Amino acid sequence: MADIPTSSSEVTRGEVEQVERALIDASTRVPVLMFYTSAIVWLLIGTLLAGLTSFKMHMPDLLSGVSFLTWGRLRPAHMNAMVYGWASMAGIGTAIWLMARLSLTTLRHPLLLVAGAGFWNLGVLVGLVAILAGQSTGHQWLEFPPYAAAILFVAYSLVVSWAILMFRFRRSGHIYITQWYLLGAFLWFPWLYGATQIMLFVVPVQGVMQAAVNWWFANNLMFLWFGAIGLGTAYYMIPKVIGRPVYSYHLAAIGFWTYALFASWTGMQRLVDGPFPAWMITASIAATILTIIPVATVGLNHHMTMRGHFQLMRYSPTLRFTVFGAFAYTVFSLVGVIISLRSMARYLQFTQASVGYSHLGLYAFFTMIMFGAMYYIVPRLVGREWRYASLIKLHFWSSAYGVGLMVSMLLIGGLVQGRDMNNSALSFTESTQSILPYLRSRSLSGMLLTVSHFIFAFHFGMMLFGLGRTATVPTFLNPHVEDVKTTV
Amino acid sequence: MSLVDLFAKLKLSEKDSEVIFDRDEPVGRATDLVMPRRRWFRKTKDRSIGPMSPMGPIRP
Amino acid sequence: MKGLTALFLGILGTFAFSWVGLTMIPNAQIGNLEPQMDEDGNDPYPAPKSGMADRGRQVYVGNGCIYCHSQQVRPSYGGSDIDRKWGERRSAPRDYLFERPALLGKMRMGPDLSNIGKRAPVDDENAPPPASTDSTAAAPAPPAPGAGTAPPATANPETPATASGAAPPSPAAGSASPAPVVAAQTAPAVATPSGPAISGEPLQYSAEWHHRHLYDPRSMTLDSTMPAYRFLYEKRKIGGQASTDALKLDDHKAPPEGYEIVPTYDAKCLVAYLMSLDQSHALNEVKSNTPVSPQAPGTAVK
Repeated sequence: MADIPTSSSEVTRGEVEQVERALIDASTRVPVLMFYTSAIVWLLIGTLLAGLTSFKMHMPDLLSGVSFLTWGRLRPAHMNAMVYGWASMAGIGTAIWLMARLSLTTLRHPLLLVAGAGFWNLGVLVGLVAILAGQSTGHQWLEFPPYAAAILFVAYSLVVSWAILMFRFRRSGHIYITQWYLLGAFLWFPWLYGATQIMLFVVPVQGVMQAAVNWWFANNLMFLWFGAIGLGTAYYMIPKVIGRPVYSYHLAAIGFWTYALFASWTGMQRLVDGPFPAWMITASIAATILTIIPVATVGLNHHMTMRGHFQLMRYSPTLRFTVFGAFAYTVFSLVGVIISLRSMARYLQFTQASVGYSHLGLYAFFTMIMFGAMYYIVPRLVGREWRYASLIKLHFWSSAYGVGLMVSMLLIGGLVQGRDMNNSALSFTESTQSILPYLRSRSLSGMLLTVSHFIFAFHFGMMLFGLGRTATVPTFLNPHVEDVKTTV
Repeated sequence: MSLVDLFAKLKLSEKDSEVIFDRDEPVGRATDLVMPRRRWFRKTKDRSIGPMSPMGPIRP
Repeated sequence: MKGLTALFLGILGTFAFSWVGLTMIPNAQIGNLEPQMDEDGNDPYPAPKSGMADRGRQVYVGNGCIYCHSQQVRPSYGGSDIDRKWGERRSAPRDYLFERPALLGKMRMGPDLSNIGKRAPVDDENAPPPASTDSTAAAPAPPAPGAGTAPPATANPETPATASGAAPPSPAAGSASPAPVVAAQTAPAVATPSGPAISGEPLQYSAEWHHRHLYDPRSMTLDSTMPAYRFLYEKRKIGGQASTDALKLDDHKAPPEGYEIVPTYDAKCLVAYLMSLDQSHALNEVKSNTPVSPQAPGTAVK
């Protein structure tokens, strides 16, 4: 930021160079709010689909017999609504704001982003309707038919063109670590998605290679798209909220490169002992173990940055959600290592444990960080503070307990299911029966998450309609009288 | 570009870690807890940046 | 800007490494396989699916069967798949040559289906060989009470004969109690160690069994959590004579007097696809874990 101008010529330069943070924030308002609003709508839709999916697993006759509500269509509809509707759009919205802030320049060409959001919504809608109509492609995390994927691609090209322009016009000579991750995410995604579409639909690979490409894609989407955006966001939010710089920038750089190198090789971890050349599986297992390196460096970095300031989590919603997510990232990686080991894969492979693992990554890590980012960013877009601290607290605890319960039920239940499945003295249906109690608990956790999301959506809606607090003091969760009194 | 140069460029300076802080939200000041007392999108007299107030009121 | 170039190259380079390593190279290795043939050029395996079975695969995909059923048999050191008689050998890349999409699956809320068209859970070597009924008929035979062995609904005469198993897939606890494979005309009065087997019910994994199972899973497997696919069937008025396709349902599920439940074309295709699932053909590159039982005449056996 420019210094206080002291002469008229410097004033002119100061005017040109000095970009108000509020101006930047104001310029990002429409595009970011468009992505956020869309994301939250998809979150609600995806949550309702999730509830149906979960209950139908232990109550199979619930709403059965209707073609577009059959479990086999609801499940991919739920997954895709969450992956492409909620998570991707929340990620893009956050990335837009972060890029504008870090470029130190106001957002230009907002129409590119507005059109991008529109097309993205269209693509997701078309894709979901197609899945419910029975037109799923059969590839997991890629069930949208190619015509829906093409619409998403159009949307994405608009967004990435904007990102390139912004990056070109950025003011700072330095590139912050968050920008590394965001740059990575925005370069990796189109290559990943495009190459996969080509290898599966345009010039399809043969036989089992489809499954290999499928899981290469799914894991890379998790790590190189969602993981990168999530990690980049955490690297901004944690230092920003506490007011202290990242503990070790070198550590951050090491973490980034080891992540890029190893995480992209983990795809085959879900296909242990499948009909593939053994070296592919072994390479993925090795890569999964090696990802402990970037995970450890990121964890260490965040921990050292926050050391002595953990109590600030009492007051800041953003910090709470973000730290929860960062911690979940560590757990997610460790669980990934465990379920990939051949000895464990024998028991866990075809069980609900992998669903638990996915939710650990997509919800406990990524979604919670997105919530944290939204709590920080939205007030800066609408010029109001969050109205009810109690609703924020309710949101946090129902999400935290909800996902905690879900993941533990699915992982433990998966172990039980796998143990019974591998015991050939038992009939197969015994393994399914043994996990049913865990699935019922999971439905319970789903109800917690449903409550959480509707509360958040309601609160967000209030902000959207200008019903936030206009006080100059932010909404923090456990107000201290001294903090309120301080004027800055 | 030799390998050494490459590594040198990969290893950014520590200055980069402070990029996210600025004059209004400097290092050492927690945001999201205690915010500057100002309206978001309106330049008010509270701003003590010197004689120049660069722009007038900004419409959101 | 210099640092930016390095960043770009690094980002693209690390990804290219993974793309080439995990997709392009394996594709060169297993992405251009040919069907296996014997020395005379006969008996190609695998073979593409027939029209109905191919369409059935689309029905399978569109209704998300893959989210509960896998189609890959793991080696015995990797799991109990072979113990459960889900296959006689592990699955290999060549098995999926003509599959699009390859439906390996990743979840088993229901059993693995790799060999469900073939299923012959025979432990006893003295059991009579499975009835060979090569047939190009697409529709299942009219179900007669007691003897529900339907010919395989596949048009490919080269795959080994499929026989419906009369015993449930899992062996009894403890000792092996072989359930003899029933030839086409005998009534299946087998005592099953688990699960119900009522006289007059269709034989497990026969076409009629599949239709009944899809229409109402819990009528065929008591504790199943599979959803009912009633929308694949239609209720219609009996015109003149009852249709041969009509499902024979229990009293409380049976349609009212004068009506019958018949499978739609999609349902027939789905069952045709299920009956075509057979990975039992020996492959040179895979060592069988158990001796392969005699196949239909003309098939080379390793």
